[in-house]
Amino acid sequence: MDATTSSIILPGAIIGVAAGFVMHRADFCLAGAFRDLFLFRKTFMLRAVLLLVFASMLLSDGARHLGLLPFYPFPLMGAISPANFIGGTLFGIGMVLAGGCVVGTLYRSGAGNIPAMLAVAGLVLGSGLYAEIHPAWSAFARSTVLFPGKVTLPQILSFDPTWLVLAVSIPSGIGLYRWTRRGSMVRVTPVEGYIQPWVAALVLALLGLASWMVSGMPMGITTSYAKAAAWVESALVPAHYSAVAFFKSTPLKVVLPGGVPLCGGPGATLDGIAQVQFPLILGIVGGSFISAISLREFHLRWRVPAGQMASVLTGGIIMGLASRMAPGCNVWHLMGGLPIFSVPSILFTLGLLPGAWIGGRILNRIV
Amino acid sequence: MSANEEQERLLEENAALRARVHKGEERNQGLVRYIREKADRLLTMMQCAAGNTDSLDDDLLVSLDPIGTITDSFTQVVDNLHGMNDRLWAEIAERSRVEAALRENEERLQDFFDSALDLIQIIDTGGRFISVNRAWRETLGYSTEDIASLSFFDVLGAASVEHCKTCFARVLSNEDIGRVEFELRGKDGRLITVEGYVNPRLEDGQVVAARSIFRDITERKKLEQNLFNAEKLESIGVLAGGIAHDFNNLLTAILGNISLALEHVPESGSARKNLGEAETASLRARDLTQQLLTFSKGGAPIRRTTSIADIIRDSARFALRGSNVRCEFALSDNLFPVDIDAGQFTQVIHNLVSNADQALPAGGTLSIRAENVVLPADHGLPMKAHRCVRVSVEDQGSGIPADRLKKIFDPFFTTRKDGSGLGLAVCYSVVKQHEGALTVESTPGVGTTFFIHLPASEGVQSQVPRSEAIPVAAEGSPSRRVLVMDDEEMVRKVAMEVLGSIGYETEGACDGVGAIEAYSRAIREGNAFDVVLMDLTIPGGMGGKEAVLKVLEINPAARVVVSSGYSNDPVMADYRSFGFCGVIAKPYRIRDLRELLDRVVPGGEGGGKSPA
Amino acid sequence: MEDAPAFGRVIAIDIRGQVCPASLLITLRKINEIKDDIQKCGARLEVLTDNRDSVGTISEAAFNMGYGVGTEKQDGHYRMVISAAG
Repeated sequence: MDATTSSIILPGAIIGVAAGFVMHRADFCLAGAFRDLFLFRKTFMLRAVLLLVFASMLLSDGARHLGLLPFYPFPLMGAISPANFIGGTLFGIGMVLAGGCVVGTLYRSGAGNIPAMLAVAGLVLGSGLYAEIHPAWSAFARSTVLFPGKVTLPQILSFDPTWLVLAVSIPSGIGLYRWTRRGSMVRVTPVEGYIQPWVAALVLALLGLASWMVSGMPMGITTSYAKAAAWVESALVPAHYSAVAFFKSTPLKVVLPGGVPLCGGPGATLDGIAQVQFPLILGIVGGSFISAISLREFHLRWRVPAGQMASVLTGGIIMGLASRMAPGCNVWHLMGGLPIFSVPSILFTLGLLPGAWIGGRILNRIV
Repeated sequence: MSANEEQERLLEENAALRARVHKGEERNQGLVRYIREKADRLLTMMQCAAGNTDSLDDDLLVSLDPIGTITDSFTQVVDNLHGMNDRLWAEIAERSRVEAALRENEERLQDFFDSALDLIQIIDTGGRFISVNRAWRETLGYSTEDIASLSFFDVLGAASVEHCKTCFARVLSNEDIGRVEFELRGKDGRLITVEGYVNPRLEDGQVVAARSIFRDITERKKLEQNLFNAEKLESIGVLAGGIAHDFNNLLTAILGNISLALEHVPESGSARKNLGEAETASLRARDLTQQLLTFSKGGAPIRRTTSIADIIRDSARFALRGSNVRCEFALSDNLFPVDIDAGQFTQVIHNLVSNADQALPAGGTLSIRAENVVLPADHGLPMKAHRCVRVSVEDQGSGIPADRLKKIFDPFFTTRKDGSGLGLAVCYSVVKQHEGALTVESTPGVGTTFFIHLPASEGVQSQVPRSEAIPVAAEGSPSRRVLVMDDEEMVRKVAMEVLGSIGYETEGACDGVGAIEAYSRAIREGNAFDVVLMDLTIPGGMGGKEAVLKVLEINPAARVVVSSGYSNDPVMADYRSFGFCGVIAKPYRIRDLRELLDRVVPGGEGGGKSPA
Repeated sequence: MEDAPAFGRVIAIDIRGQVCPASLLITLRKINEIKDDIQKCGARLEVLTDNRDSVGTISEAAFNMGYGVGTEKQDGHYRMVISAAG
């Protein structure tokens, strides 16, 4: 590994470890936020998510003005189409069934939660399944593109993003300030080592920015799951594997400032995608593992009823499919796309809401 | 039944049973599902995350009794809430009670604050007003809006600022300054003297405000000042009276000697004129001392039936000596006689004319009128008599405005820089003691007129012949003997000389004891005195008052005349009841003395010896 | 179970290894059982758990029921003490 690649892998790992640690300590999971909302009518975690988006918005626009962002918008952000929304809805369903979002399943796995590991497996499976429907789906997505060539809202409306940032950040800022004054952003809890979610949100926003600066893209994970599926398939059914067009695609083709080229795709190769995402994934798992161990609260929880295992696996598969259909997962869109008013991300987020609600209803029916 | 039918029947039964069991299982499952669902909801209510009961199998689920447990727990939650609610209500009730008590207290304090007659104020550490009560506002004339922008030092009288600043600084350092007195300035500039106390208000040991209660003592101060003035005047009067006594004696000597000198100088010639002037001047001096004595002793006038026309003329002319003001007299001829003290009345005319003179700085005319009037029944003047002599002194000066008019007779009231304010007060009190009335009318820009109403006398006027030869004692008649008692040698000498010149034999004594001794000796020697002239006051010895009684003991028919510089002494006014048969005021002229003795000593010139 | 209550005694349950909802239900059932002891005789319930979520849930439930809750982290698990409030 030469020095320049280590400028992506090492920082990525560090970012992942930090993220995993903080998320475990704060129990920061998007799926958890939605569950709290629909089940207990508690909006506490959602406020932290809002803070995350708000902070990311300000940080990315600031960084853009300072010229710290290698690409704007970032590569691999697909075109605008209803596929984003459909993907978001499916993702919401899967997320609730699995009991965690993409990073949630990861940090819970690192803390010893077996169902979470099952969800990850499901994610891989789902991503692999997508490969089969990819031609049809991508054709659909291509035929329903809106505003071709444009990705973000400011691009469509053709004005400086900063205006939009100001327009959104001022009311949100006031709201967040009021919540802080009322104490709604903190929770009193007796557990050891608790990190308040608002702290985690700010840390994650910074980590997201760091990732963007380092690898040219904000945090992204699910393409690697496709890669994992590709590897399994290439090992188990190589003939079929080579027939799948999806695994041959290399949508990533950029050159980072400093001359490092990054290209890759969902195929079973250690390419640019792997360089960027693998350290992150392993870092998150490692970070939460360290957190749990340091609290001496690492337990392997495997006494789980079959029904729960089944729903978790199913959720994982659906999430995996949805993250390739959108394309992108909740981290990608909420932490990366939404802060820069990327329309696919907005559609995805909008799709999450009905998806999560549907997922909740399904969960209640399935005993 | 055949075996097949039996078999069929069994199969049918089996199927039916299986169906029933199946149905039962289904129903069971439905029930379990229902229980799980409701247990889930209850758990959700208790905020249990990972809200699924699917981690529990059926047996475990039932044994844990989620529905029962959570219901019991929830009851406790509700009980807890009820308890908290009750406590909150109790606290609210208590708080309301405390608030009501506080409010009542505040109202009460506000009542005291506002209805107090004293001035109450609260000021902060910078001197700005926090609040003042109604009495404060009304006394100083500020409204509530005014004081919002004022500080305490804005309402102080100029003379009090330094003193108050010092006191305030001491109050701020929590020092007890006791009672304070200073001047406040009202909105209209009026100065108000107040006295009171200032107390600091402490919060955590720091002085945060100063509370004061003041009493308006302006009136009291004025009274004190008046009292002080009156006392001052009284002591001056006593002093003056003392001096006047000695002065009078000196004047007696002067007058006596002048009288004697007048005997010996030729009728015509400048010497007689000069001596005449000297005599007049001495008489004026006498009048002045009379004025002092009048005022210092507030004494009763010695009234004699007189015609006032001469007194008026003489006094007015004297008052206008050297002035550019001319006097017009319109004194009617047959004025009723009046009982007046000539000395005092002279002073009255003098003061009134003097005032009129000053009202005409550029010269002019003042007119004095005297006429008889009979007042109608509703005359409205403060006097009893109806037959009066009315004297009016009128000038055409600048007049006196109405608001000052009521005050001009007040003692100490004067508009002149050097005025004592006593002149008109003396006039008023003298006229009043004569049972008359002194009034004034004035029109600003036109002039002022003073009216003196004096009751007409019932008595017979004594004629004072103006110029007369001084009769000499007839030749050959035995001389009348007079014993002169006076502690002042000069006075004694001149009296004896005067008496000698009018034909009396004299002997002198210097005090009551000496006089008694001389009198009894004279009787023993068969050379009794016809009349004794006694000085009323002998400092350090027996005076006339006592001595006369002793003499009357020796000789009840003794004729004793009292003389004194204090013409207003009650003894002088009512000499008869003290045993005297006559009175003469010092200083006296020869003719006064002679006239008196003529009256007193029986037989006129001659007169026999008094019986032993 | 226990007879003649002594003042201030401690009852302990160990639910380590249990997750919500079982941990919550077991604890709540125990509280209901001994609630008179806790409220009147000063008894205390000690709960040993290693589930992070349960700590929060049990604390909140007990608190809403009017009890005082103390939490202490011990080696690898939490020790919660539930007693009468005030």
